Amino acid sequence: MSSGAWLLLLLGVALALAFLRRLSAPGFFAANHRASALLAGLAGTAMGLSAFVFVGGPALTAQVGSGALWIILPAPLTAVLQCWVLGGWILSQQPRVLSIPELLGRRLGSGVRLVASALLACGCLAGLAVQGKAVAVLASGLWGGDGTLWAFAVLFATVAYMAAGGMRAGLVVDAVQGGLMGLVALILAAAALVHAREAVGQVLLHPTPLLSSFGQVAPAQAFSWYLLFTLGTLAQPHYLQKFLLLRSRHELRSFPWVLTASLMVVLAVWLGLGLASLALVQRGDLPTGLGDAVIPQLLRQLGPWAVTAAALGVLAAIMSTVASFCNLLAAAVAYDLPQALGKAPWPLGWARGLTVLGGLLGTWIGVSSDRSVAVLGLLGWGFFTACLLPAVLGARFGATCAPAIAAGMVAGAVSCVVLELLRPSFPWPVEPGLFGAAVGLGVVTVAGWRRSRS
Amino acid sequence: MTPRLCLGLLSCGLMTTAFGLHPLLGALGSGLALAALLTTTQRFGEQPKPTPGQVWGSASAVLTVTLGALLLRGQSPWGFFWLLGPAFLALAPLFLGWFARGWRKG
Repeated sequence: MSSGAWLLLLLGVALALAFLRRLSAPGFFAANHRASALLAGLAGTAMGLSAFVFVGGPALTAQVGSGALWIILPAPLTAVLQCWVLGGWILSQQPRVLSIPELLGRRLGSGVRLVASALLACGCLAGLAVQGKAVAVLASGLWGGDGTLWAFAVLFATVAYMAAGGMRAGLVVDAVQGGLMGLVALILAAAALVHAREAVGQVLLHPTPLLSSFGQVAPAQAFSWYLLFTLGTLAQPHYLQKFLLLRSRHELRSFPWVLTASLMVVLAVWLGLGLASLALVQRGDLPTGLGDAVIPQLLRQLGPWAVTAAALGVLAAIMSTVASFCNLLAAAVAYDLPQALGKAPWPLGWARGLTVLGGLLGTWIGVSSDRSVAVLGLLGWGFFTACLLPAVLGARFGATCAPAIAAGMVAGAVSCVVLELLRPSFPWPVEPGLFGAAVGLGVVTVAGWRRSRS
Repeated sequence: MTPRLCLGLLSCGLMTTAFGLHPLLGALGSGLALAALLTTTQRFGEQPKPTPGQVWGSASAVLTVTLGALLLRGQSPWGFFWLLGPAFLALAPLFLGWFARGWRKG
């Protein structure tokens, strides 16, 4: 009931914002570049952190122990890294850009913009699939009822205001959702640790392989996750989107502080729920082998209030990420693709239609998949890292020419997908996202070097 | 040193870590990748950007904690939960302080 009321309240506020003034392309795709560091930071954290943080991550910790925490260990570094490497560059573009493919195209031409927008559209669909799957898993475990129906209900509530108001409506709603996620994360983490204090005390004081440096994860795999989630933040379009929203370069001064603080507050839920569920599974208070469903079980043990609080936090996390992916997908197809082909961008009506259509397709893919939320999340993150990291860094540092960047993007994406398919046959751990990025950067470097020699 | 050379070193670091043949290679690959990326930013980027000392400080801090995790992997739960986890958290104010100092210089 309260989840439905929350959805309706957000929908009302967002629709009011959407229709307040007439929209233009900068308003729809970049909120007219008017966000302060606080607003963009909270919205950026909400867009970046998804159901993976509330469900997949803690469930992975319960299964494999502290090895899963290597995914969130980059948190102290990533905000500063993004601002150092990309923030100043993106904000120095004049006139300001509305999308990541436009940013790359301005430096390297329309061919790169075309490839980037096509790959970005595919990656956004994968990202939407992760969110759809997460809603389905959580809804059936927490709120009861058909998970697929819940997934589409959440999607429709989100695309309603995103199609109407784009990022102008999405920015404010995402910032509110970011604040709510932080509050819920702290409360749930504390409650879970208090609830499981005896079990947690036992595992923290007595040696168990799950709480060694890497748990049940191979050390090399843990290091590859660490690097993937450190450098991957430079290649996720929904992470870079927040720089497009900022009002000026001056806002960068306090931006990493807002990002780091809000990120670490929300990530408390991963540590709290993960450690508590791991301890309860070890003591036999929660059954083993539940996969992602262990978190709804734990929340039910905490009481009805925890289920309601988790529903609000999870809805906020999912809706903000879905909003970002829908908007990025619409920008890639309606704004970037036509311009890369030498035509005028499509009218905003098309962007609105694509927001709805992309959301529907991504959610359908997610609810049809049998893979866990954690695996789907890693796949989506790895794909963006493989195809966009070579392009973003190559363009950022002017290291090479347009054909090399386009080839690097395609090589990165293909290598990532191929290695993902071959992964089960490898006797040692491999990380397709990092491998794809390495291949892409290798192509960019070698092709640029050959061209400079010729 | 050119941007292409730096990005080539970054690619080597990524490849070394992507194929987890040995944990030590994974830790060294992570350090190399981070050092190469920050060196590129320091040499060829606009402000705000790190100083050379901050580049090597960042890479060394990350390398110290990752190698520490390898050394202490048998010390459960003391190694990770009571030593390395807090060490990673302590990096946040360090990096934010460096960013603020770089901003004032820029």
